Parts: sequence; C-alpha cells; structure tokens
Amino acid sequence: MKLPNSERVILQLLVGKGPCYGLELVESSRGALKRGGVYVTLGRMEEKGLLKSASGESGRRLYRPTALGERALAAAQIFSGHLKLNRTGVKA
Amino acid sequence: MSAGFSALLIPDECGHRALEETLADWREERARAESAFGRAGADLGGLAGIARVLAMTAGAGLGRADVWRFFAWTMIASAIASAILVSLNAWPPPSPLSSVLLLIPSGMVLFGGFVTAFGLGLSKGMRVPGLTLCALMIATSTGLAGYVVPKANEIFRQQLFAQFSNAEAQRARPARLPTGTAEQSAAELLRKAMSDDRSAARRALLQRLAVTLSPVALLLLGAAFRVRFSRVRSWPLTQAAGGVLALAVFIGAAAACVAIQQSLPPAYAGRALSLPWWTAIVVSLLATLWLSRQTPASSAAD
Repeated sequence: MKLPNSERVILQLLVGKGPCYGLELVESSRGALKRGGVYVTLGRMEEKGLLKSASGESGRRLYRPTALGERALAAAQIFSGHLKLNRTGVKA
Repeated sequence: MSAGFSALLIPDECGHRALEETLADWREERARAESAFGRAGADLGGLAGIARVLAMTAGAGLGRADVWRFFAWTMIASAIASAILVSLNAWPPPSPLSSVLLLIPSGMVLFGGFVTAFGLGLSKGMRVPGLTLCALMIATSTGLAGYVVPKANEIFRQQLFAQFSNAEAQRARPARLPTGTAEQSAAELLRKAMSDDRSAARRALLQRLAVTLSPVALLLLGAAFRVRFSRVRSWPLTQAAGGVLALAVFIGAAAACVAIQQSLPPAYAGRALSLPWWTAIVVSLLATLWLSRQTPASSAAD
C-alpha cells in the first residue's frame, strides 16, 4: 500500500500520542499538516481502513489508528529504512 | 447553506465532514483567542482551511471518469451549437472558411453555459461532484472568454479587413488595426482598468466575468431541477426538463433586466451592459437555493 507523506505523519502522531482530534494533529505536526486539508486526508484514510473515528467528549471526532494503519506505518518505516541503507551502501 | 445545496457541490460524506470539522476548528480557535490580533489570526487560518478543503475536494473529483465525460459532452455540444449558429448567420461563408471557424469560440462561450444546464454525459443516480464541475467550467470559460475569443476576434477582423478593403484602402490602412475591448485579453483589460482608460476596460472585464460565471449558475440550477424531478423514470426527460427550466429562469431574468433597463432614461440604460448577465446569475443561484432548501442530502445526486 502506497503511504503518502501526510498519511504517514498522521499515523506516526496517532501511534505515538494515542487518539487525537484533527486540530491536535495539525498543532503537533509542526507545519507538516495544514488546517482544513487534514480532514480531507483523515477522511480518505478512514475510507482506506487505516484509521477510525468516533465522536469524542467535546462532540468533535477523535481519530485512532486501526491495526491495518499500524501495520502500514511499520511497513513504510521498514521500507524507508531499507532505502536509506541502500543509499549508504551505494555511496560507500 | 441548506443540506441540499451543499450536497449539489460536495456529494460525498467525507467532504462534508471535512468542511464541518474545519468550521468547528475555526470556531474553537476563535473562542480560544484572547486578543483581537489572535481572533484575526484565527479567522485567517479558518478561511485558509476552508479554501484548502474546497480545493482538495474539487481536485479529488478530477480523477473521476464521469466528470470528464460531462466535460467532453458539454464542449462537443456547445461547439456544434456554435457552428450551427455561425453558419446560419454567415452563409454563404466568406473565403477562407477559417474566418467562419474563428467565430466558433465566441459561440462556445455562450452555449457552454447553456449546455451545462442539461447535465449531458451524466447518468441517473450518479453522485456528481458539483464543486469539481464548477471549477472545471470556470477554468474553461476563463480560458475561452479571457484569451481564446479575443485572439480569434482579432484574427477574424484582420482577415476580413484584408479581404474586403480595396487596394487603395489597403495602402492607406494603418499597419495594424487598433484593437477594441473585444479583441483584448483579460490580462490586457486588467492592466487597462488599472491605468487611465478605466471605465470601458472595467465594463468589459465585468461582462467577461459574468460570462465566465454563468455556466456555474446554470450548472447548479439544472442539477437542482434534476434532483426535484428525480422520481421521473426517464432520465433523458429529466435532463431535458431540468435544462429547459434552468434556461427559462436564466434567460427570463436577463430579459426582465433588459426590459427594465430599456425603460430607464438613455443616460442610465446603456451604461451597465453586464447587468442582465449578473441579474440572471443571481436569480439562478437564488432559485437553486430555493429548490434545494428541503432536499435531503442523500438524494441530491443526479
């Protein structure tokens, strides 16, 4: 599964911090995620089954990763780790 | 905005939720702000967020085959209608034939808007991304009315002048015919509107803007009528009825405005040539809002 950068950032934040609201994700991402756009990305990720949402205490939607989302993130991290190793190998 | 109207623009649940969540973020950040400066920042961020959601939602629709089928049908139908109109008015055609072909883009600007009202290429029950279609039609109309038509007008004028003026006039004529507002691109008009010759260029710009936005008004009004007629079994009949009624509202509003203008003293009557277009756009959008006021979001698809 192809994991775009914004989706990867969202999954990293959700796995690292636990369930979050959309605005929390934007504020924690240090500019990697933008207001508004984050919800379009979250919606697409939910359709893909990478995360799920439910209404939180404040009435806003609280997002959490699914098992598939966690596996996709782990796979993306392993893949990028391999790429880094290969690049280092070529340079050496 | 009613659920029915917003469903015409954004038919999917994902887009709606993104819009609602962004608006809730905006309210939350505004409530948290302690100073006027902070509130202004929250407003700016909120507006940017809404613009981003709309742009991303419209952009996502570009990957859909039905959007491009609608676009292709609209362009083909408006080109055919334009060619028929041109051939009726310019028969027998002056040689070369390319002179006549140069008039087709002008007709396409007019008919492009009218054809969108019929929703050609769309199927019954299809959840159409109205926002994407509106963006596509605005981009096309801007390109045609702003750049293609002025260039075609200019070439057409030069060709006719060269063809019909006699040898003496050819020698006496200036090296280049002076261009009027109809032969100037949108960028040239904008530059002129900001310099000395303001009024004529500004009026021409307002007219082009109205022509550019009219497909959006007709597209939404036609879609709103089709939703109202969704119980009619025959889809072609639904399309035809929706399109004809949308055109009737649009042209009726423009005609009423022209009639009022003609009853005014001559000093006022001729000044706002684009007013009938703007009136038609506003009336069409108001009619769309009225038609979709009680339409459930789920049934607002075409």
